[in-house]
Amino acid sequence: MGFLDHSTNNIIIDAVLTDVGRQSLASNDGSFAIAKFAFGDDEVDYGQIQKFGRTVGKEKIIKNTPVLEGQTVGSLALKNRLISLADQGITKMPTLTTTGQNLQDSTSDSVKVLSLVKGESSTITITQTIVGENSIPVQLRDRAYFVLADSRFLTINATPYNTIDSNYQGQLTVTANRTTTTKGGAVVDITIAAKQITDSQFTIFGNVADKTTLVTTIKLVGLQSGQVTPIQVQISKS
Amino acid sequence: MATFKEIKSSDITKKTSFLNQLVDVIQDDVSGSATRKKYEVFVTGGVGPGVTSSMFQTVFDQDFSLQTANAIFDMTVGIRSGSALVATASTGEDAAGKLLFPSQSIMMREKIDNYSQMAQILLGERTESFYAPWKSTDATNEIDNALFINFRRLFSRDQIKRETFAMRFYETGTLDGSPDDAALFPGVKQAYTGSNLNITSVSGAAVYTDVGSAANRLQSFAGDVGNIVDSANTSRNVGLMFYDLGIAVLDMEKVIMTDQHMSGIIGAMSSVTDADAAAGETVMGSASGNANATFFPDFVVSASIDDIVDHIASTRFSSGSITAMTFQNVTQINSSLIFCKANPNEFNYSSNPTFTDSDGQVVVVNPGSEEKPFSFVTTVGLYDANNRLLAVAKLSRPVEKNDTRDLTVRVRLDF
Repeated sequence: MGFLDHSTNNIIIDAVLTDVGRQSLASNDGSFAIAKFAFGDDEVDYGQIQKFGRTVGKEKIIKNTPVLEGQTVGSLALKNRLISLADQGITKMPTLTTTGQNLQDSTSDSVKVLSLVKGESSTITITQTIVGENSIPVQLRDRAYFVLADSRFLTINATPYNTIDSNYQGQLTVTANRTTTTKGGAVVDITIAAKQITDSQFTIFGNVADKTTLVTTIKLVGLQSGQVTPIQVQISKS
Repeated sequence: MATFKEIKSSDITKKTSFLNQLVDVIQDDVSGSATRKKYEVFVTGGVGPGVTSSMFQTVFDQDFSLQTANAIFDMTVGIRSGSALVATASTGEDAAGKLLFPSQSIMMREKIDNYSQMAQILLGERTESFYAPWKSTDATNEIDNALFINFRRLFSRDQIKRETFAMRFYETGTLDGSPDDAALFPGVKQAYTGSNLNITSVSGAAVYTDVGSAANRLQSFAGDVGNIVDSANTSRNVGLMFYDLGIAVLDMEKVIMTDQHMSGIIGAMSSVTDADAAAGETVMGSASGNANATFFPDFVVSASIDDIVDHIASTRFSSGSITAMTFQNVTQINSSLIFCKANPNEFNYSSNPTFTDSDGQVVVVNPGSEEKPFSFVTTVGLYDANNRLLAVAKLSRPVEKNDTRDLTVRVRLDF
């Protein structure tokens, strides 16, 4: 993906259909119907505001942030959505925590690592939490989550994916549990199962140093909060 | 939903617009053998090794063996079934109605079929004739020997735009110094110099164009049609342009000096090998074979379609880096304009991981201050009712969104 020309005062909009959009058009079943929109800010680093203050930081973001061209792979095209909140005084946002069997902290980054053997499954729990506040704003309480996972290797809740894009990324919507945390945070249990991955797949997709293990990532996206939590899944042959 | 906003039906409008692209074909692309592809599907039998030929040839914008080559147009020739030429050349009809020709002629039935096929497609009836100008009833305007130039869809798109077509074409072939040349061109004194079949023309250039066709919007069975005229004398009609189908029909008897001497080796039904030609070939225009051969009728009748198209393409468009042919195409673009409207109090927060610190504190406002949050928009996602991302639009630079500013992004999707 190249960058868009941002040297003029005019704002140019580069629009493109995603793979799912094209599939939808090709299916000729009337399913291509745009019903809603979301804004995203994937390229923006709000840390500039902390470093340079609101005035200079804004200018730096506007003038010095190159924006990439539109990505046709739907699962990669818009990662961080903007959020509408009626109360403009909110200064704390909830975060997502994940717990569960076989789930460990990564040794190299903040991403959680789920270890599975092919053909086995594990249930993890995602909980919305907030630090330093008594409750999570109602508008940010997730009622459902998008789960994005590689459809070749994983199944979620033993349910077929809603859509699978050209990168084999399956998307499934999972509804939150009825019970919430004491702060009103959503709780959801998700069962992640590793498929019966073949030896050939391990050979092709496995780690370079260890062809008995392959690594893939699933992403959980809060439908209301827009919060994203990636989980790294390590699948072993045995 | 805090991250999605519904789009009302009134926020989507439809619009149709037209895009014009200028297409420029350079001489080398037409004349070069590497940029002109043959499809040798026609094979004779019976006498000698036989003659193979294409029914048409395709001109590419670069070496056609490269994957990046684009086909620009196809070229072929056709002869009208009821023409005097066919009546003269034919030896009759068999019981099944098949026209018979002596073995000295090549592909006569195929040339007639080419004409009839184009007449069926462009005029609606296989037995009809092309006339230039369109709808003329004057027999002198009837096109008996046609050069068909069929532009590929990649370049003609939805149609060719009226009054944008022009081609530089050399009516005169290379002079070969024969006595016939000397008769036509008294200044020619040199001795016979050999074949002029594939020697690039250098004189007699004319520019044929569809000038005036925008003011005279003629219609045909095959959609829009216009007259192709000589730019030096616009009352001289030399062909027709069918805009919707992207096909030019040129009267070879008007765009080519028909009585010019032609000489060289062509494919033929011959089993004899002699000093001048191998088996499967013959010599025209020299003492050993039809010394006085001219383009019309000798070459048109005796040469295969490949030989005729080879001659026209390799000589009559000249050879160089200047324009041989140009036109503008038309592409109809149907657009959906989707207005994504955000009110002042919407989309001022972000799920971007840099929007908050590790405790979830929003970094764009100072805790305890009266500052209001703001965000930046770089991307617009368009979703269906099932939250499937159907299209994505990117802004060329981040646009600030805050509680004092509404924002409308107009996304145009073209189909």
